[in-house]
Amino acid sequence: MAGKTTNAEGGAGIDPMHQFEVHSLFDLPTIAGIDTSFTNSSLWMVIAVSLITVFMTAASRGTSLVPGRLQLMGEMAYSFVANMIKENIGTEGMRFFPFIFSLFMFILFCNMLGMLPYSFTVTSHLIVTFALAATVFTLVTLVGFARHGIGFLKLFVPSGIPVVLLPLLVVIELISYLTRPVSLSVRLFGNMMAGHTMLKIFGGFVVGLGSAGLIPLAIAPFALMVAFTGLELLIAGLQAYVFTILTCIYLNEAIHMDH
Amino acid sequence: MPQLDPSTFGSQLFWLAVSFVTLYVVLSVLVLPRIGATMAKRSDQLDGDLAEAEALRAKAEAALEAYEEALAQARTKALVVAQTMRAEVQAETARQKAELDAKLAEEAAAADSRLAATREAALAGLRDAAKEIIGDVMVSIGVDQADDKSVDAALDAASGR
Repeated sequence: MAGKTTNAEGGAGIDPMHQFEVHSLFDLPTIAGIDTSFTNSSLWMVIAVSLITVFMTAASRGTSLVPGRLQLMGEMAYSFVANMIKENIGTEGMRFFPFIFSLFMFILFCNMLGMLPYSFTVTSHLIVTFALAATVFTLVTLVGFARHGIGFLKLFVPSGIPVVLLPLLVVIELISYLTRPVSLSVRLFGNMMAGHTMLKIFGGFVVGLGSAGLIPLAIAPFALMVAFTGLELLIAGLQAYVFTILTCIYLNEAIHMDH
Repeated sequence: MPQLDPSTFGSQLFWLAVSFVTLYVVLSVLVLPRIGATMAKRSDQLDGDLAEAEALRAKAEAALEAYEEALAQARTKALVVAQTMRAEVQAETARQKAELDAKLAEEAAAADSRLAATREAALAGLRDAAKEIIGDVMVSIGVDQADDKSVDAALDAASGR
């Protein structure tokens, strides 16, 4: 579990990857070959889930016809995801609303909490985003076969194509389908990791130049950092949206099978 | 890159599953149905209110239509009454005028006849007076007892009758 801590301290030698290290907070026993230790990653997952639960529970307590602030925020989150599903899948997609809503809120809160100093970004780990993407992929595939049976395989056979090209295109369609969890997870992971690494590097410039007594020179990276922080907040929201809407689009394809 | 350290994968996957499943259960069982119910109730209420407002508006429009119809009817009736009245008044006036005309013509005729009688009488008186004067003149010029017939003839000739 222990990560490398070399160069983690002091001046220009800040390691921008140090923030992604996972270290155990409580060592827990290995169950069925899985290490269940409570790590900093686990901590921030639990924090995210707790915050979402507290926020949404408080928001759902208000049942007045004219909503208060908190109730309105909860209802806005609700209708945002509900509209996304209705526009992309249709009303039958509302069966998946709890899952898609949980997915959106979990990724959004993990991304946003990662913007706090000294926090840990759960979604900056490929294994986490891949697990989420694989869950979506499995769900989409199961829904496709459940609705269309073996006919779901027609998804890989484009219509109106010369027979000669068909084998090639089927292979291409199959590969593009199978690489979906990879692209879905790498997109989120890459955005989160790259943004946080960049912030750390600029932060390292500011600290390094400042501690070397070159405070006027430190202003430029500081200003850039402020701007990038705003950009990162935008990306944190946007990537949660992108992940969710791609889930909707994949589900729509599995349900309606129209290209 | 710490992301590629497989020794952390087990813990991350385990806690991801625990936290995500917890979140899913809490949201799908406790939170989302309540928010959905509140929003559905609101939308029902709004739809109901809108329908009610629409019904009231239709009612108001019907009332306005009825009012306008009644107004138009009253106007037509008033017009008819006015025309009848005018015709009646005109007939009455014409009748009275004719009556008055007849009366006036009668009176004028009576006055004419009276005038003619008076003139006749006056003329007759004049003739008698002339005859007397002629008698007196003839007496004074020495003609005794003038011939009545010749005097009459002379007077007739003088008066052009």
